[in-house]
Amino acid sequence: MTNRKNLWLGMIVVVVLLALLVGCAAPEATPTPGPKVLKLAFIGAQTTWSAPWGHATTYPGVLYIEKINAEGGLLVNGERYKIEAIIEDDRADPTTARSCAEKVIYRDKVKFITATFDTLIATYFELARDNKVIQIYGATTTKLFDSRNPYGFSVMPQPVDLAPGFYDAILKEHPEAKSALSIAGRGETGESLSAASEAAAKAHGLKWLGTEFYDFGTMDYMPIITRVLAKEPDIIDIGYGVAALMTLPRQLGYKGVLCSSGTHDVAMRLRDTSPEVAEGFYQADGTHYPPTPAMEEFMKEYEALTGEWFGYAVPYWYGIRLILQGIQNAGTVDDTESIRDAIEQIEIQSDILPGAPVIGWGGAKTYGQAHQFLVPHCVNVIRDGKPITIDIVYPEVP
Amino acid sequence: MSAYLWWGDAGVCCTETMDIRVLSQVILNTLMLGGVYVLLAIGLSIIYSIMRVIQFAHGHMYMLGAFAVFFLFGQWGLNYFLTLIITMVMVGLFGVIVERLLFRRVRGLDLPSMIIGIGLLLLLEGAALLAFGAHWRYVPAVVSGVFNFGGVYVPKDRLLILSASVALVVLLLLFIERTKLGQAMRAVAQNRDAALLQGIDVNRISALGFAIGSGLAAVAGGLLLPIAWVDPFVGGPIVIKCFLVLVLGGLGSIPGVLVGGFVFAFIESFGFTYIGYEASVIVFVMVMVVLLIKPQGLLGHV
Repeated sequence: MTNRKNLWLGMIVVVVLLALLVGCAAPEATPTPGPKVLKLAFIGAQTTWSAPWGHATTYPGVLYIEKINAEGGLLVNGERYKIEAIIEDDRADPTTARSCAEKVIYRDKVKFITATFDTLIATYFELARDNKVIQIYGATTTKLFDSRNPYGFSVMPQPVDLAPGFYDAILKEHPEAKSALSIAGRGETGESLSAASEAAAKAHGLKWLGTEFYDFGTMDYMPIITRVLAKEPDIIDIGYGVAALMTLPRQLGYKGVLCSSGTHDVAMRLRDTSPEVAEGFYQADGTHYPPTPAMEEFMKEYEALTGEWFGYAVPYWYGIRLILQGIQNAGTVDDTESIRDAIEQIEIQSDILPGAPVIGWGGAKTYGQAHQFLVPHCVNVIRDGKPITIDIVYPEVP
Repeated sequence: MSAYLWWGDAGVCCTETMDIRVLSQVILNTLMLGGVYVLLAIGLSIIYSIMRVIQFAHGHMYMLGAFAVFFLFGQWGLNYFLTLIITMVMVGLFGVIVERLLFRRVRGLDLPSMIIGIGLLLLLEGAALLAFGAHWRYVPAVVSGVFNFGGVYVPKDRLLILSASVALVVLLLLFIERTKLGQAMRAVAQNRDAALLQGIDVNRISALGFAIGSGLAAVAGGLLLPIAWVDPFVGGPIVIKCFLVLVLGGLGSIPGVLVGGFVFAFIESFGFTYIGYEASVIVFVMVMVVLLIKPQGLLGHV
């Protein structure tokens, strides 16, 4: 009896499994015709500590795509395309970033990627290049957008191009400064920022006192700050550093110039500390203060989506427009060589800056191709509890 | 006093930095940092010694505590010290729930408890990200200003942290040494079966241990928030440091935590000031050397 019972049970299990297999193998229902779809991928951290940067990479694009879709889609060569944003969370992890890129390129068949963080992009930019995928990066590592990567474009000004103008503006207000030093998180970004700061400081005749690196998991910055202040610098560049790097020097009696030549958000610096601590802090920032009406609108939309404005989003405001305008100008959504050639010719009138300057490309001589979009950055300072722009740096890259 | 320190190509510490003021500052930094590490790690030590579980989500109790203080004190303006007490109780109760639902069934089992800890860590991170967003959160200083002793600066906020850490550790030690519940905890930590035979409710003691451990981590989060920040991912690096302190001092040994915490702080403080970034390597080398010579840690028992 038991054997017969087991036999029946086994047969039922087999039948159920077969039914499942057949169900999975069943051909898809014939899809109903709908609008054509243009897919754009955004690879950036949506979780982990670097989520603010990932959001800044993604959401300018998402906001602009929503507007275009609300107007009926992107018009390309007489046809309307609904734009689909494919957002991949790379968790600021190189292995995950590579997986995300493989997924969007091989499975989703995406031809356009926007991403940030050089360490992560470095794991997949060659894959994207070999598959002729247009890439928009906030990159400071030149191989990602120089002639080694014909499909890569950078919308982030290079620290080496921003730093000279940044130091110009600071030294106009502090001609007494004689020495400088930088504090940077260990990694490609921190190293390139500090190298650019060093080059600019030396070019302005300042004595360079070195770079102090720290791990991103550091809890207490007192030892680092103690070491820094012992060198008695007149200018301390904290790069992308946390609020403690602004607060501690002042607590320990430092009266010199505190600044950050790495693109950040001066209003966030003020929020994260206090008007007293932030007073006199200089920041390289994509946001102009006071903002133009177009900039205010962008800031409000971004805040509504993410909860907080972050100036790192500004270059990606240009990035999404470059991709979509490039597609329209080329008259194709598939031929990425033509789209690339079209993007190279684009100039954008930037109504998020006063005077609506026209922004174009640079780097033909420096990088072997003009794929560096010359996004201007503001030198902002906090005075009387408010950020103001004292200068705008227009990078010049031959 | 002057001296010249050199560490290969990693950095040069010039004559100025052996100035007595800098040295004094570094010693004070060590004390302040050590207090923090002890407070963070002691809770983890209690949990391990009583339950023999590896609570990987301990750093996220810190994170929850810091967020609680961010909202109660930073956003809603409650008294800071009252906030710390509320935070400790809230996260302590959460610790009881976590112990009952998750860790009780894997008591004494290293691998399952590690996996559960990691799962809890990811769950708390994700939930915090959804609830609070990704941006770093700060609160205004509780006390501002510094004491200046001839060029040696002691920020008042750090002195507050050190004082609170010392007070909490002393209270904890008194509780463990002088109260019946504390003695019961020690009995369970020493020999669970014998404690059972003595009529001690081991489950209740485990829950209490978890509550105290989690509550202490939460208070540490609240104490550090005015000088640091909180985001959903701050717990990861914290728990690594806690484990390093525990391993250095001896797993399950509270005196070991005290020694380990200050040794760790000493290495970091002196190392980062006089050598620079490369000192972070020394920390791990030191832990490895201790483990090679004394695998149970400086004050741990075999």
